[in-house]
Amino acid sequence: MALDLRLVIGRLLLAIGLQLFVYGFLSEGRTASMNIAWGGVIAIAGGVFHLFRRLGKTA
Amino acid sequence: MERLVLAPIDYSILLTYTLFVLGIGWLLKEKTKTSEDFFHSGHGIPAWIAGLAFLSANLGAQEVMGMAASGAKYGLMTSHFYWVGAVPAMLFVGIFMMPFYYGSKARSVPEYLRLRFDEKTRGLNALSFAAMTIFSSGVSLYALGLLLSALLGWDFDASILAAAAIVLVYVFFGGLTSAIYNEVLQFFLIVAGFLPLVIAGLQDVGGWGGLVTRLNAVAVKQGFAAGTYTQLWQNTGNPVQNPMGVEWFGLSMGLGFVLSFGYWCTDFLVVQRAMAAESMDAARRTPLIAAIPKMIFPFLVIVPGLIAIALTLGGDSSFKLPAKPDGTLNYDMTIPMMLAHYFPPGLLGLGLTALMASFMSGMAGNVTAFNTVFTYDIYGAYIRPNASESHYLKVGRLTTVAGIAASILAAYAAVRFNNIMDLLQLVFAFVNAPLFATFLLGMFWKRATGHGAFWGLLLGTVSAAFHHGLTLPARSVPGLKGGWLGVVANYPSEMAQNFWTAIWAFSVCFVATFAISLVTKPKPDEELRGLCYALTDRPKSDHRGWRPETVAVGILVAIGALNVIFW
Repeated sequence: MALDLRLVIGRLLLAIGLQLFVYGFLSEGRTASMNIAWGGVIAIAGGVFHLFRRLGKTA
Repeated sequence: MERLVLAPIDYSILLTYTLFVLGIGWLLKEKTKTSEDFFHSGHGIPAWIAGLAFLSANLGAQEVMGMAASGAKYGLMTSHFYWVGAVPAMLFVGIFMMPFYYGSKARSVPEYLRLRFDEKTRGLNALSFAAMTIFSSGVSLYALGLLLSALLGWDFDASILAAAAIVLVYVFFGGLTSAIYNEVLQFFLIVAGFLPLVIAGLQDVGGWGGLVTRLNAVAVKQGFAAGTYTQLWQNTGNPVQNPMGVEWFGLSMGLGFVLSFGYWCTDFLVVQRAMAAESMDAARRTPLIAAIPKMIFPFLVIVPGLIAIALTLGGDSSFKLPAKPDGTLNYDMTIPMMLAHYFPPGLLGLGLTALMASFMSGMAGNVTAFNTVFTYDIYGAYIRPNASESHYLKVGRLTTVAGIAASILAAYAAVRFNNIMDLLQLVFAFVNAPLFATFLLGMFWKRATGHGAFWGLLLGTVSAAFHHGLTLPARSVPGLKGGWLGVVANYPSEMAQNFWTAIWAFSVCFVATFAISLVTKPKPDEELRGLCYALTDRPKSDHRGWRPETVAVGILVAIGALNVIFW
């Protein structure tokens, strides 16, 4: 493959998830709880794609 | 309607996605050196990527927003568009048709028609498909501009030009690979953006049980049986028993057979994704992989519609769908209103990014299908045949620019003619439904001839136009909705009319192709090897993984179970 898509998906989800997570920490109330929870989930999903890439040989 | 105000974090999410999209185009530029790379991704796409792209090519924002709107309008019966109107056809194309598409080495669906039938059948399909993709891409752009100006107050012109420019950059440099990669990213964004919406909405209405209770009350209030909004088949004995206005036969035959098989098995926009796969095995597995998330997607895109209507009509919630000027509910705003209601800053940016990604990847899908069909089946066939690879690559890139420019013009045409979306749907029904009859006979009956296919297609399309012109749905006036030749029959709903128009077009095309083929000369067997079922060796799985047939049976069982559970 020209470009490893697992890496791209992983990095995009990580970038979005971490932004939401950090923003949640800096917020209050429902904005904080929803962003921390879902930002965390999305960032972990991004991490899992990185893991897939490490485990797999080719894309 | 009240406008949304985005926070810096929302813009940051949107910017992150945009940078990734442009980055993919830029990184793929170096790897896209030949026309094979540009139009077919060098036939190097793994099955899982091709599968998600196959699914996402049909997951433009119009589909996402449209399915949520239908969920609000018709209830869970909208799932028929997935469990009856998509998954069986996806299994069929993977198991039975992909060996011909991939094995024939055709570069496009129109080219398969040339190999199987003749030049005129290819020309007819190529021209109608090219026109449809440009219209579709333009309507996507128009809908994006409309949504952004209504919801965020962004300038209409700037919105569509910016979206068109982003799509141009990544398709121009990376071709089909870039479009496929972005479709896969869009898939994950839709899941990440909509799953929190479904969960927040369900929590609000008291879980699935609370939702069913509220929807039962809504159904009774509207004069239907209590379970109408949450059951699939129970109320389809008579079209007046359900809000969709359809009965089980029209639904199964029109949607479940003609329209869905017509789209998933013959539309080059989706078939192109499977044809880019790295091997025959991967190509066959592509639609099967797509069918698995397709089965689950109603819970992601239709349930928000159910929640919206339950809150609007069946409760004391602060959430209300906006009304149109004529007083009826504006179902099209279901998703944007739900995002605004449930998402705080941050997640709101993610939800809007997912919607915008859908619009752009829907447009990119159309543009990549258009540039391939134009370059190979119009330019390469009629304007400059036998040119060099590099020449076709250059033409492909120029066609991308021209296709995007034509899409922008189509978007502005849509502004001037407010019925253009209805017209587009109509043209799809006229063209795709008879095309499936042509393919069915072409692939499974070696006696079918080029003259039969060409005239069958034409007669099927013309008969669909006549059927539409002579029938009218309830509560409509003669015009674009039908009855423009005179009203000889009425349908309880537009959907029922669409389903029966498709059944009519398919039947006429099938009978005409069959009859004309019987009196015209077929191609000799040796010219049909690899193109016809009877003259093609059955593909053998490489046995490194799962057998496509086994997976297809498993998916069929799951679909059957879902239909029984929500019967």
